[in-house]
Amino acid sequence: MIFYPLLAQLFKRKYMSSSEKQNEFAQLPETIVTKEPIIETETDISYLGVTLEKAKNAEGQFVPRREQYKDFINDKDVALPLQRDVATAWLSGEPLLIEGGTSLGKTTTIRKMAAELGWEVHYANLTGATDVEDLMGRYIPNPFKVDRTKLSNEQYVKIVESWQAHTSDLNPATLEAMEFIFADGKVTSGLRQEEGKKKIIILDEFNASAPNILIRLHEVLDALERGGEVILSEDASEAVVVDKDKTKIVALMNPPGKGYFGREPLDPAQLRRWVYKKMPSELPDETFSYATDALFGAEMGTQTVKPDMFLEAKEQPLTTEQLQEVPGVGEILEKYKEFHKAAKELLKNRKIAGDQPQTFTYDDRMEPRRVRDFIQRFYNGDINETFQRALKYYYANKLESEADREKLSELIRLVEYKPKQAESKRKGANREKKKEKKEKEETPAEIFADKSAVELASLEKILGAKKRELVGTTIPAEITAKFKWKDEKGKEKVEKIILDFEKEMKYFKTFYEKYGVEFTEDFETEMAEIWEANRKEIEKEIKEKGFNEILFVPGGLALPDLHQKMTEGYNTTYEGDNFKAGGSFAGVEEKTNDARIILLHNSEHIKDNPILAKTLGKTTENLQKEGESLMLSDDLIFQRKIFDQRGFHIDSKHSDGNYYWSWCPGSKVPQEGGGFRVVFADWFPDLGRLYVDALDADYSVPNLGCRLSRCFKKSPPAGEAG
Amino acid sequence: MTNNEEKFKKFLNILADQKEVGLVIAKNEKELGTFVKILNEAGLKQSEGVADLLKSPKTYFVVSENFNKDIYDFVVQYPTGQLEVFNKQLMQSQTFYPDYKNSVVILLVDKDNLNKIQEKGFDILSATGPAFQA
Repeated sequence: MIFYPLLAQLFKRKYMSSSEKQNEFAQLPETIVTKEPIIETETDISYLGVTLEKAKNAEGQFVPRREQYKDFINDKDVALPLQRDVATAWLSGEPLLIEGGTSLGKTTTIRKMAAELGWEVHYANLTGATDVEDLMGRYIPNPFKVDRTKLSNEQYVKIVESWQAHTSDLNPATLEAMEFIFADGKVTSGLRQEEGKKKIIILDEFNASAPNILIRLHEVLDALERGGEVILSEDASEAVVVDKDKTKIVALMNPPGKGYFGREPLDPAQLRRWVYKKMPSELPDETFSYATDALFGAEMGTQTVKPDMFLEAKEQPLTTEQLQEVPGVGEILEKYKEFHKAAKELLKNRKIAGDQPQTFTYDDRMEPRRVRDFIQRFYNGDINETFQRALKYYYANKLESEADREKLSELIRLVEYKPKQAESKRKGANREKKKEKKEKEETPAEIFADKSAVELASLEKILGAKKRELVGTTIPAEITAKFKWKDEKGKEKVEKIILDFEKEMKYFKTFYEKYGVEFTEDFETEMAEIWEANRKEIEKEIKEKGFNEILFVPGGLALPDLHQKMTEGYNTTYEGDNFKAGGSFAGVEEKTNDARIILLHNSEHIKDNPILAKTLGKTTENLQKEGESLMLSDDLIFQRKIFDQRGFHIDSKHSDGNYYWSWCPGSKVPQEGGGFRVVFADWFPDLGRLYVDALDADYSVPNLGCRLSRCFKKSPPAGEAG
Repeated sequence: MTNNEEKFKKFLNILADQKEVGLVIAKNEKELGTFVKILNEAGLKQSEGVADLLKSPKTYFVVSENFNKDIYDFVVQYPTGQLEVFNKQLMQSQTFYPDYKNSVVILLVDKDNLNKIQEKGFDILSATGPAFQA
């Protein structure tokens, strides 16, 4: 049975007497501040304490005009918190997805902020849009092609001058000669960087978008996140350098269902790229009343707010090292981990967000990173307050109902650091301690008086185990092992690695269903049997090699079909000459096609993992002798899984500027005149596609290594290496 | 003049200074024709496309089954203080700033076409402001 101490405390609170609860809240003074919610200086504007810099160049048609927003109502419940949260996302460079009803003024708020900041707005409404090129650009007949014989010199000079706004990098003669020129789309023009300008791309009605458009936009988001380049496949692979400090992306959408035609829920996996903010479907009563009064002049245009609504960004974010020195950060981090798991359980069991048609997840990788960035930027000397605000921003903000937010807020309040009290020398201190201890001892009984939440949290696991019991297998759900290794300085490190069968099984079933990869009805049973038969061996491999990733692979997969499914949405795979000569994907021979469990390392780069780095420069002959036999099919599944979970590919360009490729020693293609070549694969972010080729087994290249793996199959020998 | 026609004229007075596009829903083509006549008499000009909507301060657009996405983008953006109109042929954007005090913009549609375009995902019922139907 799973036991979350945070949930336990929550239940304890549930049984507090009303006077205890009153006392708890009585400590919070009802303070009204005189500080203006929005403060503007010559160079910047602060939205509830979150300060954004004005554009140095606020000229041009895309910058909204301030006078259009002079009767904008800054109410305290919707408009001001929205501006603060938008400002927070822009400050951090995170893409923001706002879901809320049409009456909330989402687009107007963004444009009003842009008008104040002098930032450009590039707007695209995705309803009814099916053409990616409208967004990314396309070739059009050259509008600058002129017949000079029919123009006077003066006319020609005027025309050339007008071109400069569109084509700063082409001289008039070249431009004139071209039959077609590439013209930016709405998104591309927002991505191009211009001196002194800042740009916002609004993607309105995001959930009405066609799937092909979503895929392309996600590539843009990924490039912005990496701080790299967007490759315009629409323009002969032109690379547009992007910068999330200069381009902000905001997607807006109406709630799916709820009377909005054609708005479908997004795949929760897609939401992980965004900071997702859920707003009400309609204006809350109090806001409606205030905004209406303000419109009629009965109230001020800007409402006074409580101090707890303000955030204060640091001029220089804390470094990770400085963060480590903050008192209590270790303790609060442990509580945060518990909170994250508990929040996920509540979400999974629909205890929160149960009535929200747009489902989402609390992502294991993105949420902790966002929370860390938030704390680094907004730490105000009170780690509890800063941490809890971060959790409200990234967790509670995704919930629509007040009741759900309050439920999660109760958990959030428990994520706190309590400095250890000095030993009390007061009389009766021991008695009080005993009393306290007694109370603590009573808590579990109270908690389990209401078993529902805790039991529900483990229900899924119990059901899964029961199912396998029926087919004669009972297995513990997790394998845990500690991997010890030494870092570059020789300091010993210990990594606790947990592989959770239930979690992985659930993931892979959803994964294969999503991509249309077929698996048999007894896939789970097969995997469970392999798991059970090899658990000691799996544990040993984790201990010795530090494998921290697992793949459940169905048997009988056809590689060409698998390749197509695992590269859905990417550009066409580049196949090297040797690979093509060997018959391409249909020609690949793999070591096995049985159902299997694969252990791997999920480090982003081969070079950065001390164990994997040792394989760089080795021939596949040597790697095969050492038992390595990662196959191309495994690699394709692995790459797609990592991309879905993290939003980027492993083995892409390293920060040192090089690519480190990975052999697939278990896959080979025939070569002309007999013999075989060994396959290797890589991901090329610049081209947005996979790269596959084959080389002789005795070939060695310094930046070609291998992702070590171990393969476990049903058929003997169990625990076969490679 | 019928009672409905009188009501419709009063509705036109309400539309002055509105920050949103108005919507007039006719029962059928015949009623739509009546509304067109009244709008013309009131000095509103019929627009054939987005370019016309931007040119004339007091204008209406008759919505057909083949509803143009550009018009939808116009309606959705109109209340936000800035309008970006994108020319797909030239791949160029032009932005406009509605002058609410002196403008009236109306979409005129019959019920049958309204249902068809709503089903296509163009939610003009939500995107427009004041509405009239007899």
